[in-house]
Amino acid sequence: MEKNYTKFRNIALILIIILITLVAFVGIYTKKLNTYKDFIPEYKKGMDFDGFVELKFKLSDKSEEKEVWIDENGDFKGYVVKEDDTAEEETQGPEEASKESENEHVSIFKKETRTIKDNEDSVLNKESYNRTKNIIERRLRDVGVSEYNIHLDNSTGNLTIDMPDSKDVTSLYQLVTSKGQLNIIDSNDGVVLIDGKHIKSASAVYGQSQKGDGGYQVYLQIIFDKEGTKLLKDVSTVYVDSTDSEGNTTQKTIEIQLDGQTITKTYFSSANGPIGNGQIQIPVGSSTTDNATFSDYLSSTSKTATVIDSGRLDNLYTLTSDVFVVSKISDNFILIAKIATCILLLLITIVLAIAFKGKGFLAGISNIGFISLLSIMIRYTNVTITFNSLIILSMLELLNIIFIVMLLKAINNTKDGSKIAFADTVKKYYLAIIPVIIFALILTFESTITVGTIGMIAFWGLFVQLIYNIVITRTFYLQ
Amino acid sequence: MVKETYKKVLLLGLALLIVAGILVIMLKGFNVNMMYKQHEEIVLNIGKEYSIEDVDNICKEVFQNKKYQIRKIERFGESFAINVINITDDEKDQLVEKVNEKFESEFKVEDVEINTIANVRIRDWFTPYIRSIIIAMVITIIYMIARFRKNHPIANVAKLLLINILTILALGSVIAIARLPIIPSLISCILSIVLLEMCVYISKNINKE
Repeated sequence: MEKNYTKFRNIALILIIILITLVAFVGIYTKKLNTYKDFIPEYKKGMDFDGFVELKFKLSDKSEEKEVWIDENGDFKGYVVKEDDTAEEETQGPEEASKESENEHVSIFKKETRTIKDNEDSVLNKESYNRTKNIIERRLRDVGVSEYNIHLDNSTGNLTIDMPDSKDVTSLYQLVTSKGQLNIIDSNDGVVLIDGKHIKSASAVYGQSQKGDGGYQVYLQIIFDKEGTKLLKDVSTVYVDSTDSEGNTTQKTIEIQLDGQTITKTYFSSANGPIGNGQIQIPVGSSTTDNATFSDYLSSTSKTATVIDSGRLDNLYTLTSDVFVVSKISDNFILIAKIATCILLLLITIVLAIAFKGKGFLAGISNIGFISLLSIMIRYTNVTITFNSLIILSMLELLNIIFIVMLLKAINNTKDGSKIAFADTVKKYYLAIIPVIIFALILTFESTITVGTIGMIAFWGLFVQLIYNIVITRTFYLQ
Repeated sequence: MVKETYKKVLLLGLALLIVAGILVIMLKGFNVNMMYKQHEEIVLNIGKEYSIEDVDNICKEVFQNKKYQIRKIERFGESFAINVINITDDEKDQLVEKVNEKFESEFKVEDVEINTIANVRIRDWFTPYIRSIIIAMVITIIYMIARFRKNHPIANVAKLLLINILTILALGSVIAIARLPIIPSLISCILSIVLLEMCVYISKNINKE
């Protein structure tokens, strides 16, 4: 009676394993819009398997003659704004406002014509190229590009960046081609009032629109350091709206520029008083109630904030090519690899059956179920598959075989029953693999795919192994 | 007695292997996969589908003994890139001529650009791992000291670290001597081997207890 029950139980378990294996390697197909699609999500493939975008950048060699402000030491203080560049003031007395400002700065600074190069000779060296590369890497990580390769030519400064293809790739050019130089300048004469080096941090924030239309407004928030806070306080005292004795309102305006492009032109409200907290919030676009528009604003503002926050690039690059490189791993190769894996698993089953007879055969079948369940788990947990993760999968398979062999030896050696043998084996095994558990947990939190995928595969592998072996493998040998 | 002899022979063999490996690395360095070394690239868009075998045959004729790699570019299957360690003017002329002949294209030698692709520094491969591995190693060492607290913990940790270092040196020597191409995934191979070694060591010591 007991023997029949054990037989029936083992057959049922084998059928469950066959089902899991079919689901993992063949799939469950459901009809969706006149086509059949696998119900189980696809593997999330890394660059090794899915191909990548190869972006090539070279150092910009543009140079231009420009009139600049310089101080007594000959240091650069801003680009001179030509009269036709100055927008008309909205209030009376625009000429008075600009003349007043220019008079102030004319007494402090001198004008000079200089050749301004995108990449001055002082930054055409290995150290600058490497500093630039490090900042670009930081920018890529901050916007969530977790997988990339950067090739830097130390002699020419040229960069090649490989990253996964996505619809956002063109918006990522900015991370490399934007220097991240944010300045607050006097809009009338172009003198730099607050240099970007005083920026402590930048971020994208949002809040409900002050217009009361129920929409949301995205802002670029800039926080200045101690020196910048002092400068901001001074600037927010001077560049305000004011009313003269005749009731005419004038505004002294500033421009906030990123890499020479104006983000906004504004003035500080005299009613609010000077800004003492060292923070400004620059509205981006208009307030909106549309989710898609809001997401776009937030996404582009986040990238701009990342560019500013990560630091100024020493070198300025221009994009020279953007191509998609197809993965060397073809579908045929993947099919061959899958077949090879199946053959290997069968061989392992045969070897175990030879070594441990019937118990070994059941262990081999159990091992196949473990791999199948793990592959399903990987697909549902969205773990990226790379060459690194395949190596770790092999390690997990080896560990599972070691566990199985330890269990079979313990069962053969014990008279007290398989439950005790299983408990002993689990205790010895998990005490021995604690370093693997530690590494899996630590590496899981790495943001780069190269390292993070190792941790995630190891973590899910060990988790599935524990649950699976308790539920399925142990049940095979229960008496 | 026999075991002791085997141990000595093994240690001697290991020492010789490591010394040989260090010499090879000092004289010749590692064999880095061409795609990670500085090399040159030609990209050609022939405007129609092609067979990789045809491009491969052309490359064999033009580059002969030089290592090259052909990469499919763009999703439409009409472009490819040929990466070679270096491309001479003669080779460029020959390549353009044979591609035009085979695919009926009209490339001109002066219009085809050779791009230099910079090398990837091997130490950049290790950078993403450093922080996590250091943290994990520190926690592992603390665990091992706690685990072996009654049985010479420091000596056990030192012995295990020494075994790991010797393993890494031995693997590095084998890779250098056998001129196996270095690729980034090698780091996770070495990491797996080191982790398995730690597990075996701990397991043996648990059994002894």
